[in-house]
Amino acid sequence: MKYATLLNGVKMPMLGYGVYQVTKEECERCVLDALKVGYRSIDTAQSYFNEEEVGSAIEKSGIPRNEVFLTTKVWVENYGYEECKKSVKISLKKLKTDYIDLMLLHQPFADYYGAWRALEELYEEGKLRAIGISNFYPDRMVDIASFAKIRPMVNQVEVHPHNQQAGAKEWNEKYGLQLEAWAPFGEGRGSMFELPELRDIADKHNKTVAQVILRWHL
Amino acid sequence: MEENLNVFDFELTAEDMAEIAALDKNTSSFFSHTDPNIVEWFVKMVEERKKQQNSAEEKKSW
Repeated sequence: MKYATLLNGVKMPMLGYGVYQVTKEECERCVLDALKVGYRSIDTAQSYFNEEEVGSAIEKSGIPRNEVFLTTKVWVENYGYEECKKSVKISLKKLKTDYIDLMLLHQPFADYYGAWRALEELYEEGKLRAIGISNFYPDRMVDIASFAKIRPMVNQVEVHPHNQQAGAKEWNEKYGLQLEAWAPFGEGRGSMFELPELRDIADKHNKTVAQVILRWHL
Repeated sequence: MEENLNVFDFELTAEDMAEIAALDKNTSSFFSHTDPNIVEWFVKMVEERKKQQNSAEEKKSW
């Protein structure tokens, strides 16, 4: 496994398992499988309605909590200082943990500055090992990175072969934020897995297209 | 799942990387967060979810 070192020294696995659109019914089994197979980084969000199942899976897996890197995200409905604070406490309960490795602001809308202040406080209290943002385009990122008390450590944005985000990477690197990809395969859109260029590369290396795409990310 | 973890035992050549770089469409496969129509869609979605999930009740129960 490769690790990224965030601005505050926290090490984060560069490959993880996300549970967007994974139903409550499937989620526990999926996360247990992922952990069994060797994933040590799990990504969920308040808005996926499956934090409880992620929490159960980690507990049932028998893997020590400190060996799993857990990411979740504050949803827009819970923005603003007070609501954000409350929502993080609920997420902690649902995830059955007393700390979260990475807490992100999910979208750049509504009172995200108020929410960020809450995350800064919770970070200083030790409940969050790292805090970051998601879907902040470079202009929004520069704004919050420059004016907030604590600079975001991660920016999770859409990155895949059809949307490589070279510009975003440069800007985030300039400010010291680690770029993280959502939809690393573009969710298969644009016939991603059938592209002849990727198939050729995959065949050459005796790997699957998915593996090639992941290698490209890393 | 297992297959996707097994990606540390090979390297892409400079040629491979160049080929992949050429696939860049430089645009989202989903939507743009700076499109006001999308922001409106988000606003609606947040309001809808608030109602659907009966979130006030949910929050109280936790």
